[in-house]
Amino acid sequence: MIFTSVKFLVFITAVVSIYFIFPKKYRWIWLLASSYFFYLSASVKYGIFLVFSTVVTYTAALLIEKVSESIDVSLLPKEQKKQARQILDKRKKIITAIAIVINFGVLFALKYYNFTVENISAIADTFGLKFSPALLNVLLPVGISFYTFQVIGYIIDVYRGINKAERNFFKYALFVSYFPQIMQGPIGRFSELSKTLYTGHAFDYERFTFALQRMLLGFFEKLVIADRLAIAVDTVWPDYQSYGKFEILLIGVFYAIQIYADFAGYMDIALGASQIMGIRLSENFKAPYFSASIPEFWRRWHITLGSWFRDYLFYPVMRSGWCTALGKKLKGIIGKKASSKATTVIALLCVWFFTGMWHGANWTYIMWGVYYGVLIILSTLFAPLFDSFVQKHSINRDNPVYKSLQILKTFILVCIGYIFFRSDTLSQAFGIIGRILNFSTPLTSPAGIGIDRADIIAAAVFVLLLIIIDIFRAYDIDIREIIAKKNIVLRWAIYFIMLFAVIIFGIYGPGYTSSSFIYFQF
Amino acid sequence: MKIKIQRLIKAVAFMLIFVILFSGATYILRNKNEANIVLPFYDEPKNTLDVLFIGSSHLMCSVYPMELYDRYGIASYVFASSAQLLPQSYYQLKEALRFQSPEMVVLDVSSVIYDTKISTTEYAHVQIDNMSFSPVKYEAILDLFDSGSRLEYVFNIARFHSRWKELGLYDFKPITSCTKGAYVSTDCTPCLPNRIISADDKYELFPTAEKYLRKILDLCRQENIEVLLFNAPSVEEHDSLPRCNAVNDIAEEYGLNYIDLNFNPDIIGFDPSSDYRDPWHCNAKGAMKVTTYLGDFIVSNYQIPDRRSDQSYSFWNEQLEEYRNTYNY
Amino acid sequence: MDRAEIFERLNNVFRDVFDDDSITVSDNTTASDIDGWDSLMHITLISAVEDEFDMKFDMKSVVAMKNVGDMADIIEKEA
Repeated sequence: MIFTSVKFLVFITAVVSIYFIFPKKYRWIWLLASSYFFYLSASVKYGIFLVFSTVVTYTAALLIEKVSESIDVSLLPKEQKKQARQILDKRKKIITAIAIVINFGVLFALKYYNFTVENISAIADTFGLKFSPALLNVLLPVGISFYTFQVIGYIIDVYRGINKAERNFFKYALFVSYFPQIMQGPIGRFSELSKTLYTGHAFDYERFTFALQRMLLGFFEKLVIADRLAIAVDTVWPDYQSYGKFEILLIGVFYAIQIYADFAGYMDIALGASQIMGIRLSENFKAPYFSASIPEFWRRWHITLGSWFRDYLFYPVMRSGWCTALGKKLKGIIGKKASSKATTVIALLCVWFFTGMWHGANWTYIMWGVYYGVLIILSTLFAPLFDSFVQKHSINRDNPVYKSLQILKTFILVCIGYIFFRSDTLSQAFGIIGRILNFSTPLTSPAGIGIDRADIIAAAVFVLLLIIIDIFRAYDIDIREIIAKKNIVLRWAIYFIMLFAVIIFGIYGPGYTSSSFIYFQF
Repeated sequence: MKIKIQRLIKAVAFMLIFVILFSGATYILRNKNEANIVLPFYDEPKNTLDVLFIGSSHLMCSVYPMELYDRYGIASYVFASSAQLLPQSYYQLKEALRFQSPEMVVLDVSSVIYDTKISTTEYAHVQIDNMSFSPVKYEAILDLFDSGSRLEYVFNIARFHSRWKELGLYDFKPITSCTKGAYVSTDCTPCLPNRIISADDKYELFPTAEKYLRKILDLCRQENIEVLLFNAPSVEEHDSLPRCNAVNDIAEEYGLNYIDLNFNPDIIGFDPSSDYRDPWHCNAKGAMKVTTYLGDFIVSNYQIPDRRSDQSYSFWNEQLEEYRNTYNY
Repeated sequence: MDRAEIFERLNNVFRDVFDDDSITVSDNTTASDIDGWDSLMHITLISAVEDEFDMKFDMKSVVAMKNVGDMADIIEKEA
């Protein structure tokens, strides 16, 4: 059930209506039932994997807590405390590791097994060896990358003592399966989500209208902007060899807008739908294309994924025994600052390799991830050099021209990354880059880009509107608050314009072409 | 409490405005094929039409109700739609009976050569979209389409919203026409005459076509409406001659008249080299021959009142004058 | 070690790590107040503080500390 379908509109209306009828104490049970209905309506088979992950992490969390409570460390004499802590920690670590391995194992088997096997056999082939084990023929359960990360985050948080293990299995199952976020995130933290997920919230008129506005914006972003640009992108991208430099560059920008409007639009629908019921999900975007640097971009783009990798991969790697040991070793050879940079570089490459891989089992994604890794490493390595340059030439960093140029630079770098992200194969990605750089490529081509002039103009107008909305978002101003202060005529005019913009200009429905009347023209 | 009532009123008002805007947008955006000849039907005063022509574009092009009024005083309307098959005609008739109580229905049976409920999605839209919103329309949608495509007939904006880029003045102007459902054309495509087959040369009727043909006839019997089965001249396709021939059996069973002008076009002096607009449809010349023959047949076989001297039908005379000023054939 | 002393020494660590002698931290100082305090610098900072006070932050503290006040609390307890 995708969000932009009539089915979902019916579903969310039913869920919300019944939510507020249910006794407050049991409203979370209704959400659990709704979430499983939502998830299983995609395919009943997928449910097995979801339940499995839920059971494994639920049990592991309880076991970790049981270990913690098995010895009361505070009662021990001081000299035994440290030793006891170490023993407990080791046991907890083992349970956590097992839970992580099991969950990642499932994800790996379903998502990466074929990819790995294919690559190994390709390598074996070059050495004249034959290695061709059977490939798995299973569809990937929807949302598995998201919920696997969410449950692993939960287990690690329990291990670290950030939150207690949830004792009620069904409450925990709701945390894993909560329908607004199961398909595409945001990847929730138990310590945050549990604050609002289980308490029954009273109906709040103000909140309700704000939530609906947010959903409407989401539908606008997805149906009117993303899906319109997608037609052009899907036309030009696979057939890039028939297009000139101008069209390819234009499509690159189109894709950047498309993927943002698509993903952020989905988030606005998810967060809006959840907000109706008073449940707060984490924000996943904050006007990312207004970032002045790549690290900043990644603090504003897919925020919950970035923070997941920071808290559960980057920090642990940086603080792991072997990493600090390596740092110490290097310190003697290359100095303190350089050694810390060296370990950072290793950890970053690791993080970005996996960030790329998380997006899909394809070298294009890995390349895309590593591209960001390299950009971030370069920016940390050259930051001091750049800072002294700026200081020497007394460039004012708050100058709007300087800022705009930084934003433009970041956007261009992000667009280059998307060449890998959107391409089906690495050779296609390099083909596109080659076509842009090649001197003999014509500037434009007569081939159509899949959408006509009227659609391009419409897209331009709507993207402008999105940019204005994002300026408000960048400054943390809630447009809804501003609209709420206006008089009812203006307010409703805005609502109806947005509503009918989606209904009229959205890309949905069976489609219509006036040429389908073949023989009788009246 | 007060604030709750206020909010309730606001919510209702919001919904109301939405419905109004939504219907407006739906109308403006929808494809208006044939709207100009179908929608004026709804402007006819209630229970004033004596004869209804129900069927496909074959009827639209071959029967001119204004001529029937001028010559015989018959008050009639061609309530038809392009490529409309018999299942669709059943609902078209039901829809018409919500507004009119005719003495007689002339039913176009040319579509017995198809075994499906609709011809194409586009033509189904032409029929359904021109229907007023009513339980009959809902019933038709439920019966004619599978569950996956019903929604686009209830809310046809789903299909037509992308027409925003080709809107013209026509989409905003009120629709008028004085032809009473006829499509008047003076174009000409010379065609060859159909082969001649014997009366025994007939195929069996398709089950779907027969089922709905019977439903229409039963409905008319129940409503005490006379039925004349009719097939206008057109160039043969899909073995239409022997298929239409089979309608004779049904006509006999129900005790009805059946006129198939493909079977014996000479009785009206039909000339395929000059009387076709295109191979499927008559032009004005052909239509005049068909209309005259039908008028003669109706007045001599059925009790249809002459409305020319009826005071309450004086608006027909004004419409006839407008018609004569507009069309010249 | 009293809190004033902790902050005195923290100030030196911050100035050194962020290469900015104008930094003065207080209980309410957060990452957004100091230029360049991102996730990369966070780890460098944590190690520098650990070296200064000869203690170790656990992962919970590394992830969950919200401001310098939290950091000082932990130092007070551990060192």
